[in-house]
Amino acid sequence: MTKYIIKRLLQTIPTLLAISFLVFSILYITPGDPVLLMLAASETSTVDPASYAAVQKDLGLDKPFFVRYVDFISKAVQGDLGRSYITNQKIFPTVMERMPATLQLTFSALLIALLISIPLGVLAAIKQGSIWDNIATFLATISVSLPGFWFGMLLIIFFALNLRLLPSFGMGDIDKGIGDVIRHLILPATALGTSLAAMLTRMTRSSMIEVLNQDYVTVARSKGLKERTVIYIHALKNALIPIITVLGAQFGSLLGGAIVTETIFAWPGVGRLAVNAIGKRDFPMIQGNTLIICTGFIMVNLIVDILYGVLDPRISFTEK
Amino acid sequence: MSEVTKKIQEHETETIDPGIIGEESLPISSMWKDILRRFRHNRLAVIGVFIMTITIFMCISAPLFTKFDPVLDMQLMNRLLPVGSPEHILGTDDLGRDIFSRILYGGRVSLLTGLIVSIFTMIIGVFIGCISGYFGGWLDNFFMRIVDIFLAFPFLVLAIAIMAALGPSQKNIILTLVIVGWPSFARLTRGQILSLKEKEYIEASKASGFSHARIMFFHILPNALAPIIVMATLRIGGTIMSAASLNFLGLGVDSSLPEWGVMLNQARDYMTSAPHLSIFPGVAISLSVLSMNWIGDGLRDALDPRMRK
Repeated sequence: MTKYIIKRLLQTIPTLLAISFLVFSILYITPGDPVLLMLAASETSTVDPASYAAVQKDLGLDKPFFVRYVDFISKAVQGDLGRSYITNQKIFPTVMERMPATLQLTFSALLIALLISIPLGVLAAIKQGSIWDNIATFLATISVSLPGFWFGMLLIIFFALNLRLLPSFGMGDIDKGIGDVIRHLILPATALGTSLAAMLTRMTRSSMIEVLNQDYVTVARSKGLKERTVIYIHALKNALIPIITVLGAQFGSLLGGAIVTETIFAWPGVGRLAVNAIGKRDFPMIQGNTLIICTGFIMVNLIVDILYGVLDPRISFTEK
Repeated sequence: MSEVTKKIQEHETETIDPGIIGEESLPISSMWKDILRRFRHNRLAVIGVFIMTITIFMCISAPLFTKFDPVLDMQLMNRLLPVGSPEHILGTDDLGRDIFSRILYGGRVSLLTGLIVSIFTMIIGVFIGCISGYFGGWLDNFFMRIVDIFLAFPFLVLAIAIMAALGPSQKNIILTLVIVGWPSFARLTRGQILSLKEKEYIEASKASGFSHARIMFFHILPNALAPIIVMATLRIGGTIMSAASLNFLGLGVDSSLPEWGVMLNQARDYMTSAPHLSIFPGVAISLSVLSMNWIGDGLRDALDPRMRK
């Protein structure tokens, strides 16, 4: 087991290197001169060649591509992703400072998605073909097609502006109690989690139907166990295995969706930082942001991989 | 003479009639006829085609349905008119432009983007997937590592980073979504090719001395096409949604041009005073995505040979 975890950890290194290379090259080919951008941010007068050269040297922009990439990587592993062109703040701490807000949002969305989809999927599966099944399946197809950001806007219009039940923007203050935090979380997390909920409902349903036809479920029933025990203890546990794998991959779409959701709900997370940075053409910030989000995504997938093995002992860690 | 030919004809029609032969007749239907029949039996898929056809028709022939220009006809005294105003069925936006007209013209942009991206991602992905799966070896390794890297990114996060580099325009949105989108097609195609290339009929075509290109594209690919077509259909809906998201974030077209995501972005400032600005572009996106998803699901069920009776 430990050996497997170490091996998987080592396997992520080439992936991370490749990702950083891609992100670095994307922004390397970007048109526009970062030196001029930086000078324009600090002073309004015309640029004199001496200060231009000084800034260029300071940023390391006079060196060739690969030297700059190696520079970038060796600093990045030490947690130094450079400084913002606009605010001159260090990027790594700036992004990490906002990370908890984004994680809070994405995990709440994940939680909401699970809380909706698993009961609904199980219900649809055990009453297959019934009106409940039809309603659940239909709702799922509809919600998969809703753009998350539009759904968020509808939630704001309905629950925040018309009914005045919940706040429409910003994060709650923990000093005002946990209730305030939750009240601020409900709308953005729902907006972000709905399409995932829809997808997971369909998956839970089909996975559950498959499991319920297995022999061991028949055995459990013939032993005279309560139907509830059979479904929730024997069947559901196995039906969840494929869902966990999908969760890892879907975490990426949650992170992407978080960028949009944060923009609508003025949520002070990483996504909003990225969108603002694009507006200001603050390339090191975009670079650092993308890199950190992707690293987080890869780590989540790694955890899911390991969890997958714990849940399903049939998967051997020693193979390959 | 004419009577003879008539008799011959009668005779021929008689022999074709299965009832007269006396054997149990089996309905003869081609593969595509079968697929079409199954597709038609899927109620949601048919509704999807219906919605999509109407949407496409209305967007293409937008001038027939509205006399307003989506960009130029600004009437500042008619700002934020509500739904159902005379002349403006869906009201007007913050600059007095007709919303109905903007939705129709905006649909041209959104639907065309969806179609173009879907076609190009499919062509690139299928081509690379074919080569990878068919030749294997270092070529396969090389392409699949690239695919792995692309798939290691959260889709929208990578798209946003590329958009940041390319700069805002609808052309760049299309380019970005193609760059980000082809790897999933490549992986799907490769898997299909791998499972087909060991089949005996491929061995036969190799023995017949056909060229690699001919075997790849004319013998293997047609049999691998079903899941690719389904993915391409679903991708149209997905692209409409992603393009709208990028435009909503302000990374796409100039804000004066009509586009569904752009319209929603502008509507954000008027959620209290004029909520109808936020409703209709979203309905348009959802309906198009929903109908494409239904069509895609219908195609999947229709093309899946395991369901064939």
